[in-house]
Amino acid sequence: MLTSHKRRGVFVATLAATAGLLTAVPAAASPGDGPSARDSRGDVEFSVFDTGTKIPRDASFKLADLSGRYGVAKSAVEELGAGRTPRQEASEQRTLAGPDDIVGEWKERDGWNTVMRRGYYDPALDRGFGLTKVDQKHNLSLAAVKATTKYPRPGASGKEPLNGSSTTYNYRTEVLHIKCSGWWIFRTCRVVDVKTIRAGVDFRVPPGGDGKSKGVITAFCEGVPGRCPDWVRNSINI
Amino acid sequence: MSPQPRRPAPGLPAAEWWAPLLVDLAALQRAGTRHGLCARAVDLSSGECAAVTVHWPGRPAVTFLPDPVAGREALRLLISGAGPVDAVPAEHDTEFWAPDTPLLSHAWLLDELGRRSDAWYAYLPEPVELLRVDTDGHTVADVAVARISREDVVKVRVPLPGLGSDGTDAGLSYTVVENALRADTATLPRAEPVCGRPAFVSALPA
Repeated sequence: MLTSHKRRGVFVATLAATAGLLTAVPAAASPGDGPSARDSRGDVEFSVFDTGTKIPRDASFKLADLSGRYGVAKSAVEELGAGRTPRQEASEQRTLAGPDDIVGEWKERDGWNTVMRRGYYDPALDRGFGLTKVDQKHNLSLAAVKATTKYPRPGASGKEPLNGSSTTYNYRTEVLHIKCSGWWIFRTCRVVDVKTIRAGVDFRVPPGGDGKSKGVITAFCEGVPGRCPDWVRNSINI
Repeated sequence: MSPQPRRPAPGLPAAEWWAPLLVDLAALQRAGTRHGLCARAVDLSSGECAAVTVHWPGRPAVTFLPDPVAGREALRLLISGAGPVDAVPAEHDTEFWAPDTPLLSHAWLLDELGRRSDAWYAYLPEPVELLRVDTDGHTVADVAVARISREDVVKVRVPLPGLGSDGTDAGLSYTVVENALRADTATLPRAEPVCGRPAFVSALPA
């Protein structure tokens, strides 16, 4: 049986050992970013796009593994370890005039040029397309749609044509809602919810326009005709 | 909601079985518009094969039972045996084209429905099925949506004039199925039963 003195000794030894371990862990924060006792303990929640790194869905894992094994930025994991919300990249702001203005342009998984147009959304008519509909009706962002088309789920079902001439495609990817508890980057994490995003892209080109495709028509969480949960668009790795 | 179509089209696992047929029929409706061709009814209610009724001004309507996997050329041969159809414009499959007559708008609607058949299985929390598309060729098209678990049908009435003309109706398929999902049949006019199920008309605002 441990005496009080011995218990203190064990605690100090454990802390010292842990401190030594921290210096050896690649994901550990620099001294200036060290965790405060108040914020580095407790539960944290966040979400990540599954970019094919095989984050376990039915087993726990360490928060630090997200950067070590699963491709999430080290800085984001350090922020989470310290109990803070990682900052998302600011989305581009442009002065826009009409629904056909291009608000985003990128290469999807196979290097195809993909555009997002401003579009519109009329809630009274429930009509629209493009970023305005994606944002206002489905609570998704340009970054979320980009990630869905750049990192669709592995295999054929990640990117599938919807018509025979292969000009309209569906992209699908999973977003994982994760909860972690414990201390700093050694928190134990588990996936508590999964949503599948489906993005529809029409690669046909409107005549007489800017020469680029119609682009993203819409994107939504499967089985959800309204808003995706906030945690989907707030993913830390998009 | 299902992550897969109720019955996938051969070679297109993310598309419903009728999707390629509607896209091909849309191309031919577009090509035949100059002659007044109207794909007046598309009956998909068997769940396996389609019955397509077409007519031209001054001719009796003709109903075909096209093989849904036979392709556009087979469908063109079938239809052109009954009346005139021009060649499908070369750019039809790569151009996000815009209609400027009600008949062309009907072609545009068929194309839209065929291109975004994910709306019918992945978008809504309850299962729906496309049973029929009927049009008068001038003012409206009725898209008959079966609400499987409620054992009824909502005919979503789509105004044709101007439809698709300015590029802002892209994604109308999602609007159609969601309109059917949310339709409160207690407040809607009844229609003739469809496939033995009570049917109601829900008009989309123009």
